[in-house]
Amino acid sequence: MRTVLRGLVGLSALILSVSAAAQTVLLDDSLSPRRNYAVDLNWQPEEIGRALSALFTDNDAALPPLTGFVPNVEVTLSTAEHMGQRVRIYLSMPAVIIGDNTGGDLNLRWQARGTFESGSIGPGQRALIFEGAVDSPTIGGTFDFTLSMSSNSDLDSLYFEPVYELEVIN
Amino acid sequence: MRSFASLTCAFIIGFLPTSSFALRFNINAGTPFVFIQIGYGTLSTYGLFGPAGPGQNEEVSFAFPTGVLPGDGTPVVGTPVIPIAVIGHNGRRGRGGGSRYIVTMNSSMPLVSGSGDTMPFSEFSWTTQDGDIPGGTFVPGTTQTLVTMNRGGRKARGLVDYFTFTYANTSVYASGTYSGKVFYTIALL
Repeated sequence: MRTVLRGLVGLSALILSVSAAAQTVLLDDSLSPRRNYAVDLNWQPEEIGRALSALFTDNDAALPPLTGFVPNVEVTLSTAEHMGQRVRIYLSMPAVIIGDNTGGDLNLRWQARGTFESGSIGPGQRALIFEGAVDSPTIGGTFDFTLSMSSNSDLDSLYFEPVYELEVIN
Repeated sequence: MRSFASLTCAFIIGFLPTSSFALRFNINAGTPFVFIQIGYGTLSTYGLFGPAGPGQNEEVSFAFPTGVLPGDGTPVVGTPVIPIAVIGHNGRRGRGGGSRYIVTMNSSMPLVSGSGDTMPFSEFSWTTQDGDIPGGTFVPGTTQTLVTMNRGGRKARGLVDYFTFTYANTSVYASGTYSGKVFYTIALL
């Protein structure tokens, strides 16, 4: 009898776990202006001094990362299916990025304007950009993105598409 | 067992992409880049050469010391000392590594006085503080190489040095204040 109870408890835990995970969905951002950004990574003027100092002291670890700036990216997410629900929305980067030989040091950070929160992520990571009740069929905002990589990385051409994940809280 | 299979199926379906992505970042393959600064300029804001002191700028002046006459062959040292910073980053893999760039200068436009008299830049030379960048004399009419960086290994290499300019004072020119510009260019090799 005790064994049967343990089995039931285990089954219910499994069901709850799967049920919670199934609440995560990818949000449709196709209402956003479609944008294909070409980004060159380099040192910004304010980083040249640091770079020179690091080079002269043979301190490669102090070399600033190469960065590229993509401002004013408008994003509109379709949330009609979640009207009235409390949700968390995350911005995430794919874990595997073709062409990324950097060993995972690619970084995407952003300053958000409007509804969303600012944050930063690397490959396979996600960051919370919104938490609250959905009271409109779309949620929108503007991001100023900064991409960065270690300056010592072997760089190849690569691309990736950030995705937006939604979790229902209640 | 059947119920576990259906649960697994539901789990996978829940994560199938239902969206089309509007945003894509195409990161170019480590585009090489170079940078040059002559003088204090904007980098003083960031501490590379420290904040420019009063009267420090990118203009070099040559005042004749007492007892030195125009054209008497006594060199006249200009002030202030002018910093130079150059840096190049090789960028992508597969370029053989290393850092390769060249800094050239053009002094073809002569100095001109307020009354229109001219003086060639060949009257001027420079020395550097630590020799990372060699000294020399301006040669108008040519694209003159200041320094070449062509080393393997590191993708990024930089140079910082300080110019002291000197007026040869071997000729006599019409009196006046002469001014002119030298243009420095950095390019990837």
